[in-house]
Amino acid sequence: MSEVTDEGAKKAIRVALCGNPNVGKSSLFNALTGSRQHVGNWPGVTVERKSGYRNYRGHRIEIVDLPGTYSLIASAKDEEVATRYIIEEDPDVVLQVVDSSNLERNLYLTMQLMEFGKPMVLAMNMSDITEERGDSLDLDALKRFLGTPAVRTVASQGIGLEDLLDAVVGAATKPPADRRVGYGELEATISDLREMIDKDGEISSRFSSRWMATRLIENDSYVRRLLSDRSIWQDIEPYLSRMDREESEMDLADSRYSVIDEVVVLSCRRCKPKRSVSDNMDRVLVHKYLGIPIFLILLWGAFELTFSAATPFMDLIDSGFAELGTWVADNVQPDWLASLMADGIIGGVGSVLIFLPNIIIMFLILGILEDSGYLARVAFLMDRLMNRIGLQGKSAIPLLMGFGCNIPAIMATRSIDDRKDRLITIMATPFMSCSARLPVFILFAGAFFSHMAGTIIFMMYMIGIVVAIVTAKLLRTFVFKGEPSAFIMELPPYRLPTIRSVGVHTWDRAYMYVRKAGTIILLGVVAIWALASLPFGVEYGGEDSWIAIIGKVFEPLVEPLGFDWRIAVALLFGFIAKEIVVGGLMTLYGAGESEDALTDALKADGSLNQVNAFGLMTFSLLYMPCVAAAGVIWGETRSWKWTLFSVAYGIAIAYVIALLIWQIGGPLFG
Amino acid sequence: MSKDDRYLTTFGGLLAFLYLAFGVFEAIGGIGYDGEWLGALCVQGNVMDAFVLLVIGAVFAFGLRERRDGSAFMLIGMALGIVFLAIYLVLMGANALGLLIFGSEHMEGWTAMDSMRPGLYLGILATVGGCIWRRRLSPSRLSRAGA
Repeated sequence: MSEVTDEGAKKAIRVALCGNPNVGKSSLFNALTGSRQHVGNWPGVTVERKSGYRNYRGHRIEIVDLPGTYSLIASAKDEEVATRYIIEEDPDVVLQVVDSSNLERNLYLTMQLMEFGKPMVLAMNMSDITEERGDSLDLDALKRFLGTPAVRTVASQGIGLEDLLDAVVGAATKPPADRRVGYGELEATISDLREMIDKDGEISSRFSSRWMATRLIENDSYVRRLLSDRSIWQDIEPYLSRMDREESEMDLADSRYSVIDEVVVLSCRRCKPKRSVSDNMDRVLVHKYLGIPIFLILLWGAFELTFSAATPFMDLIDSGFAELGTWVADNVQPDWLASLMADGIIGGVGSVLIFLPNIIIMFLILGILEDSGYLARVAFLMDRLMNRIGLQGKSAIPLLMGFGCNIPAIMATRSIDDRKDRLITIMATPFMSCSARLPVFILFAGAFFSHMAGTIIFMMYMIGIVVAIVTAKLLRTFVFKGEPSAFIMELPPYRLPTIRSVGVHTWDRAYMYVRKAGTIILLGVVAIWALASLPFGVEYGGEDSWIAIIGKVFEPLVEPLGFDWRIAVALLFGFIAKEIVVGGLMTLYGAGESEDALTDALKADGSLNQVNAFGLMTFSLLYMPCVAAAGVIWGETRSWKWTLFSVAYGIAIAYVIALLIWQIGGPLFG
Repeated sequence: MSKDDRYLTTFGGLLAFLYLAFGVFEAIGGIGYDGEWLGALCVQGNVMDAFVLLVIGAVFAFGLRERRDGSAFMLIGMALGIVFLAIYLVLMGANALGLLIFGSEHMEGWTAMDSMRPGLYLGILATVGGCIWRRRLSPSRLSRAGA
């Protein structure tokens, strides 16, 4: 939560910020409250509600950013969050963000919100796109017709914010205008239903009976649930069962669209569909044959940059830590403290921080691809493939988000309305290679495949995608039998990424990485150091140390994969967070403080070669990403069975593939 | 077809030929052929480089087939050529920076020619096209993303 203060606050106003997906709600939320919510140029970025505050002209305004929804009848979990908030939490003002460049589609929700009877304000966002297209909006005509304040905004540039806040304050202090859609022949039905609803004083005092009547005709499960245990339901249910509901639903939608057509004619000049720059780009970028190859070369380019462009900066950080470690080893007493600081803390944490340049470059590239709208195209390209493996195209979005971090990616599956599709996507997402695995890949690809490290890292990402696809296919075939639900995806227009947007996202991710290095990874490497130093008097990391004893318990398990006890320990600690694999190896190999020294130590280790290094990278890629990811899987599925399945299945797949690599590749190339 | 579109198609045709040809050279090098002439053309024999060149070449080639939207393919082909030129320049710059910071010992005798590859000089050609048709390729024709 964050807060922007203009002056002393007095009156509280609660605002529900809603709208269709990808219309700039979170951008507007950030601009109004000074927050840094993640924004992205694709639908479904926000999956849960977020609050922020703004003190404005004596009012303390709470703004609640809601997930995007096309209608007040929710079909997916994230849409339900939005509709339930608007209906149940009784906000003072509903602020609908409207994509001005796509008025017709956005106004459908406006019609439903108007019927709900709450004070409303429309933020006519992305007005710049409308104007660049040569269209112009007559906001006065729109206001007159809808009886609702409408303010021109460009959230990404902070345009129109004061006018919008003035409108919100004004709307909160006045009763809403009584505007309604006329439903022709259905009016008689609505009137009958209203009469029945009005008999229940408690319900009719909370909700507009006209709004409830239209919801019932549309078979809204929320309103049905609300009324099903009331006495009036005995009259309503038989009445509804006599209706041709499908026909009535279509009549309702037709009536709303004819009002929308009138609004568009009155308020929008020259708003005729034309072929845009985005349309032309899509002819090529989502082309049937070229789309996926273009995506693959861009992905490969991204990993080449992530690996190679970061190298001098990595070397610089590496030499800094090496100097620091040497200084500590020479100047700190007693010896155990020097060892803790140099071998444990500086070596372990340093070996993780060395990869900060890679993380920054990767998130810069991901940010550019996401903000430009290209990642939404990738989801579209994947739709056909997704359908073939039994998933809907919507599943591609969480899977692609998994490249950054699996945790928000698993949460993003809330946008998938079908429970089976959602569970399959949750089970497949942990195989998408997140940024925490990158240090492991960079270390081993750099040490054993230096001339083609970028390509090897690219292969790791491809293996992750293939395993995710195979997992989804297996689950669809043997566990969640059936067809994937239908999916319609609206492609956002291509946009020029802004330095601020990409920079903020990259900064947040880099900060999280550094914070993780200073907390959980620090604890992990100190634990490894302690186990490698105990019992007292033992050789550091020697055969008699506790860490070796633990490692040797697991060694028989990993021996068939070509790994020794040190790798076993590093992988074991990698359950906490994948970065600890690198930090742990640094500590266990006694490589001091330099990543170069660790690379040399790994190369000098006779038991490691290209084959088992590749197997180790694959194992790190496929077994559970981290404890937090398992926690999120439980949180999203509320099922121990599926959480344990995800963990066990990941380990089993990682084991089998690493085993095949070593057992087949070892004799051939080892 | 306008005169400008005709020029664009001709230029795109030339780039299609060059990108596809060099893509094939890279692929030949990648599967083990070690001809001297490949070295003279800075072909590194990298399979992924070959794939990149072939895909960009294919984008231009598809543009030749399309009657209505050929120019969109040509422009995106040029944009991809420029993107990969930028990537290769950054990689070259990173190596040069390493040389500058750590000296030649650390860089094991790296020279700028080691980073030279067909994607680089073909990218320069794509940039020339991008400059000629900059008005149609300009990113300013897109709106800005949210912050």
